[in-house]
Amino acid sequence: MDIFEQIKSLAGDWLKRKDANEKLTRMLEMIADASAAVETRKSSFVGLAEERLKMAEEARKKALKMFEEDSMEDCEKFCERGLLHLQIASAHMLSEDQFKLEMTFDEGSAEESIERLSNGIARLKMAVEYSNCLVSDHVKEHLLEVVRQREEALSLYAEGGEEDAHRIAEGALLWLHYLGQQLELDNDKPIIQIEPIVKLSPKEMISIKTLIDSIVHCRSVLQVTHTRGYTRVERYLTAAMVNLEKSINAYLDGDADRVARMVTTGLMEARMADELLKSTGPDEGAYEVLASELADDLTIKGREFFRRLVILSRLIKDNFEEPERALNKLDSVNFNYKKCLAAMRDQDMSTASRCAKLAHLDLDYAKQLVIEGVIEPSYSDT
Amino acid sequence: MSKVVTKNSVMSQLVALEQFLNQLKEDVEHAKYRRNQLVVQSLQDASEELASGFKNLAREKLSRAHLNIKLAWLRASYARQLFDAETVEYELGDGDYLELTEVETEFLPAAKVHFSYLESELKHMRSEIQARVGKAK
Repeated sequence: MDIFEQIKSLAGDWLKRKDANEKLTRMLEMIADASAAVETRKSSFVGLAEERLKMAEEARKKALKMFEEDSMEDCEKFCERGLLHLQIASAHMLSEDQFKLEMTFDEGSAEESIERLSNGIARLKMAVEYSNCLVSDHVKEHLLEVVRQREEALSLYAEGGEEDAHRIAEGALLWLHYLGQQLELDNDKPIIQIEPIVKLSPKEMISIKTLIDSIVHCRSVLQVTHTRGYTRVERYLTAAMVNLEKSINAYLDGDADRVARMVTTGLMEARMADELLKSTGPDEGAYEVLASELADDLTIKGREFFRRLVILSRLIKDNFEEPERALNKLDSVNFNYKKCLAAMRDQDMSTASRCAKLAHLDLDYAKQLVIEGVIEPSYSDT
Repeated sequence: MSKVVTKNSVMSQLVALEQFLNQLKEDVEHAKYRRNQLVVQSLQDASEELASGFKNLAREKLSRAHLNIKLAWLRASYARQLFDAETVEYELGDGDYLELTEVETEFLPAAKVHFSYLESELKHMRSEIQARVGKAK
């Protein structure tokens, strides 16, 4: 019989039936045989088996020492430990391929929620990496919070706080659903759908999703129309987000009335933001897709240019001391660049040339201020 | 997950987990292009849970060992998926990884990159306009 099969087949009380001398002798033989067999076998898990055999040998030596000191109880303990390492080594050597881990958690359990949350985070990351899509600061900020909540849920679960862990994981899944939606709208293409767990009736879930959609819609409009944000709109959206959070918490508490109240309030705030945005009018017209190939090329370039401009403006706003002058110049770059695109579409090359030059000069001015630290920059078209 | 926890079932799952983690560790070590903090941390936490699982198995505390297995799996599977996502970005993308932990971006280098992109786009556009003006003449 194969040595690993032999070791594997040893019953739990096998050691107990032997006297100490016999135990140590048999251990020594088994370790020697198993080590010799490991060297001649081809297996992906030889490394793991060798490590276990080393541990078995260490346990055997300790058992021998205890035997010499006439400490039979400890001798037995180390023999058992050695045998366990031997059995693990054998299990590794007997598996031709990697053992299949069949971990299916009970539906509705805390661990299932945590697994769904983990998979959701990983799927969202995979979708982002695969599609190279834009991840706004807003999405990133909330995503980091979701990642933190997952860790919190796991720690609570490990400590026996299953109910709290479950609640946190479900709440984080709802946020993840929101982030998936926001990501799709920000990028104007399908990227990922993460479905939350339906705990109350579908009615409450639908109403929360409606609020999520309204907030996401306003944010996506705001993002492409205002490089520096729009304080009044943002104030309404922040209030709507607070109510979204409250409605998610009420949902997790199973409080349908409170969900309804929070969603209604949140929707009112989102609508106010929407009305304000409508009254200012979208100014992304220059980036709309036109029929010709040239227009398509310009549209793609225009969108990427504008995206970079928005990121740069936000970086400057958040990090640069007294950012106003630089931001004004970047606004001007945006204005002239759009005019240049429109003129190119109209084949008005003289206007296009003038606007491109102005945009270039303003960009250089902002660069001198921000990167080179020049206090009084000059216009220079070199 | 099976309801009846026996010494054999715990042993098989621990062995399977050890193999899973070992494979993941090798993959992470070979991926020289990147070291994601969250993957490394999850891997380390999973290994610690696995070690506790083996200890609890030796002490015949099977339900504790079973909990260790679940926790180790949740951490290891998460690490595997995050690592795979980063591999996709490495193979197909331009190395612009989505960070899931707080990473401070340095303002000036980041601003420089954006200024440089915008500047080169404008230069390109101006030369294109000049070329079209030339053709029209």
